[in-house]
This record gives sequence, structure tokens and C-alpha cells, in this order.
Amino acid sequence: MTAPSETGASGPFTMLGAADAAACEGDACLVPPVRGDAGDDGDLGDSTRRRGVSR
Amino acid sequence: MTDTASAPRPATVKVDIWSDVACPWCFIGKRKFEDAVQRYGGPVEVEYHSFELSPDTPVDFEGDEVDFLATHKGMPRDQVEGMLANVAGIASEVGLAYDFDHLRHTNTVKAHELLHFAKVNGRQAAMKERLLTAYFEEGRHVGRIDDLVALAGEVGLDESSARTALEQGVHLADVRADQAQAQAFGIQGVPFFVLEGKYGISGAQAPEMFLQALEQVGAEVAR
Repeated sequence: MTAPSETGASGPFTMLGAADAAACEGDACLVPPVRGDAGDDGDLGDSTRRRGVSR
Repeated sequence: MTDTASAPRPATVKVDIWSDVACPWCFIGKRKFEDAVQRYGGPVEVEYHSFELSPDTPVDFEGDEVDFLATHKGMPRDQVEGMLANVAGIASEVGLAYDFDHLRHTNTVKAHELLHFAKVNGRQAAMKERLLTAYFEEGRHVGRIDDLVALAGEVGLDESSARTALEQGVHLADVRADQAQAQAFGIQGVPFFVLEGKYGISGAQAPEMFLQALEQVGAEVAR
């Protein structure tokens, strides 16, 4: 797991946590390409493993 | 003096969460955040805010999730099916049984209006959970007023009042205000967590990440 840390600013906020955690943007949601690539907790530690869209 | 007596009382941490109902990572992130809140042990005040990922989605889309993504995104069906299976697998790791085969793709603006109605009536957390479960696990429709009124009743809200609010768009301005606030904040994706109006956390983070953030912010609030 990536250690919690400040990851810079987004708008008025000081950002905490992993910068590449799974999220949905627009009508697209990045998903891992292969089941099991994510860690035990599902955290996506490597953005290069993410691809595609879903919703 | 005992350790218990000398221990500082945990401070309440206010968390504003922008999310959508039709957002697989929002439900997964919710479970991970709740795990962290339980381990934090202190009081956490949560308020949900509206974010529409796909406001142009029709209320009654004919087809399943694979149909929507294949037609809307032009993706190969087998690729879509594989990705949905991946998401469902990750959801299962946090105890969620996503059922994309029966998911009813729809527009979520009325669901957001209902969440504001629920907030006014002290039931927003229960309504949020009910809507996400209905959408991802039960194949329930969360875009039509009749269906939303039924779900409102299931969490103890007055169905007649909920229907009136939805039919008259009483809380549409609240939905738009949330969306405008998100835009002003530069929030581009959800789930997005704001702690004490100062710290931002994007995405379905690991519970340990949420926990450390709660402890850090809670300590700041207590000072």
C-alpha cells in the first residue's frame, strides 16, 4: 500500500492519499485491466495498470 | 488517573463527500471509508453532495450496462464484460455484490434530489446507502419518481412528501448548488472527500489511507 501522504493541492485543498486511487471522471471510470492486479484491498498502486472506461 | 481518563476526547471530523449514485468506485470507496471511520473510533460527521457523472443519460435506457458502454463508448462487448467483471471482483472484496447483469442504467438527477430531501429530513446517510444498494446490487431503477418514492419509504421517509418534492423539483437547486461548488473546487472525479474544508482525498482509497487522514485531521481539530 502506498503510504498516506500529501499529494499536492487540488483547488483549495491540500490533497491526501494516493494520487492514483480509482475514481470516476465524466462518464468514465478507470478500471484495472486484469482481476487480481490490484492489491488485497483493491487499491490501485500503479496507474499504468489502469485502462479503459466503465461506469 | 487512568489512561482512559487522561486520553483526549476524539474531535469530530466533518467530511463532505461528493459522489454519484451510478458510480461503482463511490460505493466501493464508501465501504473503505466506513471501515476507516470504524477504526478511527471518534465522531465523524458526513454530508453527501451531488455529482452527476453522466447527466445526459436518459432516464429509461433500453439495455444493460454492457449495451450502454458498448454503444455509448464504442467499446468491444467482450472488453466491457471483462472490465465489469473486474470491478465486481473488487467490489466483492469489500462485501458488495455488484450485479451488472441486472443494473438499470439511468439518469441520477432525481436520485440526487431525493438525497437532498432526505438530508432535510435527517435520513441522508440511510438514503445514500439504500440508493447505492438498489442500483448496484438489486437491479432497482433509481431514475423514476415512483421507484425513488418507494425507496424513500423503505428508509422511513414520508412517501407523499418525497413524491411532492421530486415532482416539483424542490431540491433541484440544491443539486445544482452542489455541482457548482464541485466545479469551483476543481473536483473532476468522484468519490471526492473533503475533510474539515481543508484536505481533499480523491478516489476509493485504501482504508488505511482514510484512517491516517482522519487521525491527522482529528488531531488538528482537537488542538
